[in-house]
Amino acid sequence: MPRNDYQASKDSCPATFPSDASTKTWAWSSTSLRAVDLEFAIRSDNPRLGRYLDSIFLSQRSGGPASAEIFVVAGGPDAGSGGWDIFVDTKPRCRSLRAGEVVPALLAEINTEVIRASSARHVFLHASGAAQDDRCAIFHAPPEAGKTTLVAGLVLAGLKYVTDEAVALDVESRLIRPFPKPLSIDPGAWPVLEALRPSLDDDLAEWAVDQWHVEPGSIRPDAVAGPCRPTFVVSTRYASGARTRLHAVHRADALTNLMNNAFETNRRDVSMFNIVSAMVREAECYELVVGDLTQACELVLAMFE
Amino acid sequence: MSQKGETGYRDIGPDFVPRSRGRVVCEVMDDIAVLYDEPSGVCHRLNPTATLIWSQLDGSASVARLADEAHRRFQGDRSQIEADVVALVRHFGELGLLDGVASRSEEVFADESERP
Repeated sequence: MPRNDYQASKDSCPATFPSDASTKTWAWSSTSLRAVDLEFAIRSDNPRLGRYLDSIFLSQRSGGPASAEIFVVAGGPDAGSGGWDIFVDTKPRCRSLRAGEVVPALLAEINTEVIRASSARHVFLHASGAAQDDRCAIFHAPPEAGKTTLVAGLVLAGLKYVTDEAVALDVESRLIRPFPKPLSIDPGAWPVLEALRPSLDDDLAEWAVDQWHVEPGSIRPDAVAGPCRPTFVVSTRYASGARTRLHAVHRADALTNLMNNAFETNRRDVSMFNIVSAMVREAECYELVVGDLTQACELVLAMFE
Repeated sequence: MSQKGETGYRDIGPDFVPRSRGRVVCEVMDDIAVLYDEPSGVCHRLNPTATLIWSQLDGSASVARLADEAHRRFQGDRSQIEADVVALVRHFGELGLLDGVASRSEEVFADESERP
């Protein structure tokens, strides 16, 4: 069963939380941030990293209460350390990261905590999502299959951003709640998403050498969707050189793929199966093979018409 | 090798009377069943014929009787149909979906626990 794209490869981590952390004045602390049901904040002893994180978390600012969950990024060469460590509420999660690894690892940790904190009221699907009006298309796929690339292309083409990694289905309303995390774009997709290349000051460039992190509001101010109905369920896979095509699939295939590709940290029980089954029964189900991003986006836009 | 009191899935034959495990939830969508096995968290998608057979695994009919029903419905070679139904029911057992049948993984663990 997949965990998430980053966790699959991360090491265990016995780093030690800074002994002066409780009295320390951090060089940078975020405002309160919110993702689905998780209120959180991020702190770091590195102001440059703070400036970078400020720029990519704008869509998740909540203005809410003091945050319950604290993510800390500490260490780095400026602190005389060999690498960067990440802590969640003082518990070590990752250590000795290179600068380019820090934000992908931090986003993965936040994803994990969002799912953990929000699972009582949501079922999470390992998928990206884009919406038009109140209709949402869910693009489910295993890791590295092009979920983010496709949704980035669709947002550039005019759809609204729901998420690029974890679709949150509210178990009461049966609506999808957006989780507008920064789009995490891997180098393989950079040539086809050149329009999203971050424009960074030189002293911030090191955070984006392994992955671009695109604040959705930077694509356009109204890029983030509101709550929306799961209208299309699309099994998505990138196939280099393949003919791009979209075709209907049996709902049973969609349900099987969604369930077998669920997050480990998600609820996994009969109630989840029943909720996802009900969603699939009401949706149109397709498979999208992506050989060319522009053509794939055209097919999806036509699907909405 | 099976656990005490359980049939090995390879031992399933025409006389075996299969019953689906209560923990397995079945959702039929347009004549296709999706089985959800909660303990393993795994879904299995069946084809229409397997869906028909699965719907009859209530512990009242032997595999041979299920084959008779399938023969009445689909015609064809009776012995081939029975062989297909035996193979299908064995596969359900292998996946751990049948009461009283040791799945492949249960057999592997049983084998390992018996090693000196």
